[in-house]
Amino acid sequence: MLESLKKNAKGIILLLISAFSLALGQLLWKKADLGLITGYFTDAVKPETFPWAPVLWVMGGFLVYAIGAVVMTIGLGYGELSVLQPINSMSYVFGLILSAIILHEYMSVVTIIGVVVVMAGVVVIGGSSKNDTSKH
Amino acid sequence: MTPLSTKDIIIIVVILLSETCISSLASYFLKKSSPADGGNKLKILLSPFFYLGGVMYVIAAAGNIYLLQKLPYAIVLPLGSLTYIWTMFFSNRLLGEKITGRKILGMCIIIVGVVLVAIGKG
Repeated sequence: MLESLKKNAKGIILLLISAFSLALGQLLWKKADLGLITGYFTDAVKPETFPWAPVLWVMGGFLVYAIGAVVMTIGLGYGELSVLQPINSMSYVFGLILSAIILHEYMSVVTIIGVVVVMAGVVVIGGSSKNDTSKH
Repeated sequence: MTPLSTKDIIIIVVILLSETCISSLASYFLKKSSPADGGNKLKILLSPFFYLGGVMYVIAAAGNIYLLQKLPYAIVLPLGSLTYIWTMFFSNRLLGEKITGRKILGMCIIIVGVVLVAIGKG
């Protein structure tokens, strides 16, 4: 299993970076408070008080997302799709951790257990490879 | 959220199945655009598959946003794990990757984890 983890290491690391970028992108959108921006188009927010900061947050979110997509694509070249794609689930984990740290969102015990279980699943999948299957 | 009619439920199931399927195929196309070990990574940006995958991800995201308007986040989040089952299927059919007990086990553990996360958040 350790050997498989090493063999898949590049792909796994790139997919983890991409999952982190997706989580960060979502966090930026959350921080942007999209209500302020849509409010501009529905006259709920006046032009002179239009908050430009959220627009930057949204654009930053898109940028981070796009970088994440490119990193994921590079990563997918380094191993099996069925091994690497489920690592995307780590974006939930990163998202929860970032929200807890930056937005001070509350994390319940059940959520924390869920986070640990997702990580365990990623390790189990990441440790599987073509070499393992040939032994069966 | 208003109670769901039978028609609503059918629409939700169809969108859920297609959204997760499209998301999974999107990652297949991204993989197709990605050169294997040692290849020139800049080729990714020249590959039509990269943009096809990107567009499919956006379509899948739109489906997901629709579901979030009909169902609570705590239900939509774990249902999204269907994507991994589609991926297991497509990577077997289209890429010849083996479905192993270990992959299925890992996938089940991830799904249990996502359900727990959702319960904790809900």
